[in-house]
Amino acid sequence: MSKFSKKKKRGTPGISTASLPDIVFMLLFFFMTVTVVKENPAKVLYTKPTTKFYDKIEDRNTIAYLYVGTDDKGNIRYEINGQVYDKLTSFRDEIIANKEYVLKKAKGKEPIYTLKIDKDNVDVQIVAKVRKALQEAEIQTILYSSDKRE
Amino acid sequence: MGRRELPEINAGSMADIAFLLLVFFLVTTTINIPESGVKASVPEKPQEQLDKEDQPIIITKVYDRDILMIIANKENRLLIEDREYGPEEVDQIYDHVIKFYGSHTTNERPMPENDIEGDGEQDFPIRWKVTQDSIDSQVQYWEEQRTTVVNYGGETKFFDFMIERWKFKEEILKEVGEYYELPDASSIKFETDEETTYGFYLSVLDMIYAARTKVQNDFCQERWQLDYAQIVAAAKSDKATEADKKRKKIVETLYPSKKLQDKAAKLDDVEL
Repeated sequence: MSKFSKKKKRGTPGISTASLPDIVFMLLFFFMTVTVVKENPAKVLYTKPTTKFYDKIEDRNTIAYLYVGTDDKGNIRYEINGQVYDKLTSFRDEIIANKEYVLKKAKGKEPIYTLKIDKDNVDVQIVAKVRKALQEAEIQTILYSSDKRE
Repeated sequence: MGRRELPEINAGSMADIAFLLLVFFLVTTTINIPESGVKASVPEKPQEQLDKEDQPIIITKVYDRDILMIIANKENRLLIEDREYGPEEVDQIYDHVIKFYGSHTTNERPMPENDIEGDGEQDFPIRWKVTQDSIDSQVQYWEEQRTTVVNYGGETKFFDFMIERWKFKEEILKEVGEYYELPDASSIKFETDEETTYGFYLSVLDMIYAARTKVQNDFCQERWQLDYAQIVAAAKSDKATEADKKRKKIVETLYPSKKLQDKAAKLDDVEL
């Protein structure tokens, strides 16, 4: 008979989960700071062109998106704020109507109208017409959105 | 009164709540990638433009070599000067534009690589030399002209403009020494068919911008260890000093951005 009795069970001690919320909150705050709300996917179909030289715009608040592409039948369509138009005049009117909101969002900075235009189905003539619509809406700075070309 | 012990709040579900929030943010957001593209501007409406145009147009003789002609047709083929290139040879534009700008330190031009005529004639604009003597004589000339006009009670705006222009050249001269300037008439003419695709149009524009930016950046880096974009930003900002504005003007005189004439960008005849 030994003086000290052996413990009958030697189970592993449980890991404390008390700090788990802290870790998860840390992750949460990390993602909240480095990410932005997703843009709604465009309804028109387009493929961005590629360019070697490009300007970068960091401040998302100054950007207003305009899309020129095709519908699934191949007709040219214009899109702003999730609304699709087939006539440039109504597209222009919507740009004008939307101007106040864009200016407010840019908070005193110059808004930049980012044009996402299909590279194969849209020709120079249509681009000129879109620019004309922007001119009539009294917009000055635009960005031809493109991906980097290696 | 006896103290009643408060029951502890169970924090076991805190992790679940935090996870729920985390997953929500992961699903609804994306990482902030800066928007990239080629920046351009839309001209103002014509009637407003007329009021702003107070700069006189200077008419000088245009030589064939002063103009770099780039045509992009509807089959996405290129014509640079007199040579035809396929759609994959857009990069050729880069070298042409670099040669078009040349250097402010010399008027010796590199010969075009493929000189079809073989006559060895220069195919790029020849920069002319700006010296203290030429500035003095020009300023004197324009001031004499101005006095004559004043005596006859005429409009002096044009003469003031010319004198100011030459005096600014003197400031550049002090900064960089004797230099060579591009002729006023020189330009890069870019024309397209109406059916040229947007992708091809932009790739040509991209090459011109890339070459132009390189030429301007090389000069700015050598002189001030800055990029041209930084100089433009400094000149535009509210705290811009005279020196900042002068730097930008020097670059715009030696390597002007406004040499590009993009026919597709002209909106006068376009109707919706």
